[in-house]
Amino acid sequence: MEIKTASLDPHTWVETHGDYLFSFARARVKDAEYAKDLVQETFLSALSKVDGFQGKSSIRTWLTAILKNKIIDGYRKKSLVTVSNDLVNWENASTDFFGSDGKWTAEAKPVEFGVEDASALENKDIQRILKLCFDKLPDMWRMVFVMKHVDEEKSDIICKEMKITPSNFWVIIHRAKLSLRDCLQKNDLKS
Amino acid sequence: MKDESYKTFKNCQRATFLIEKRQYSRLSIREWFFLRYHLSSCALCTLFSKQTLVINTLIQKLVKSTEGEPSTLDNKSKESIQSRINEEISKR
Repeated sequence: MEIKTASLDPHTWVETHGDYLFSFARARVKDAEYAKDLVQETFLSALSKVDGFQGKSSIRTWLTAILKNKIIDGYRKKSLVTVSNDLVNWENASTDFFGSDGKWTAEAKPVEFGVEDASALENKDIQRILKLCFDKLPDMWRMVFVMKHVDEEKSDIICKEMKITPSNFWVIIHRAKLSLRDCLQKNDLKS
Repeated sequence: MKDESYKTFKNCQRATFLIEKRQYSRLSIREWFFLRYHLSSCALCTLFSKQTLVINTLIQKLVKSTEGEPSTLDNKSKESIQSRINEEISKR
């Protein structure tokens, strides 16, 4: 095959972009083996499209976009059923946080534990606990959460890509935050 | 959530939902009024509204640092993926 530029040479892809793509995937899926599979699929899929690569973006940006689509496809396949189940379960489990009157329950009510201001960003313990708590979120929520808060995607694009309704989207954003905050608070107060 | 309590100004579940929503979306006048009134009298949700923004920043930091971790893909996997690619190239 014709190789246009050195950076486009698939023989060096893994060496040049493997770590980056793997880390990108690991931030979005929990299972390391699955993340590796996604990286491999990304390279193979890129290979079949490489002749169409326009060079409008860097090769890494292009590969990352392919990987992102693979991650989203994976969620969609896995979670068409579980999304709605997750949400139903959460609606029922909302008593974990709020009573039937809609007020915070005694166990769940927010207390100050060190994430009230920017000093939390320097706190290594909180960062360690956050990682544990973040891994407890259902995969689908985690992806929606990262797309919104980290990638800063538009809400309607997330809904379209993840095939969820806007109202489910907001419920996921709300629930994910409530459970993260609750998990952080409970673990932080224990340690 | 669907019962009458959801509409009262005391409802923290609705307030926290709107605190999340307003970060990215314009609230309706009714929602905006509800939230303003609720936060003026609810110390717990006011605390939540501070914490939620810091948690956003913490998550951004966590995800970006995970993305930046060097050499997280082990050499064996790298070799296996690269040889899979090479195999595919040789077929073309």
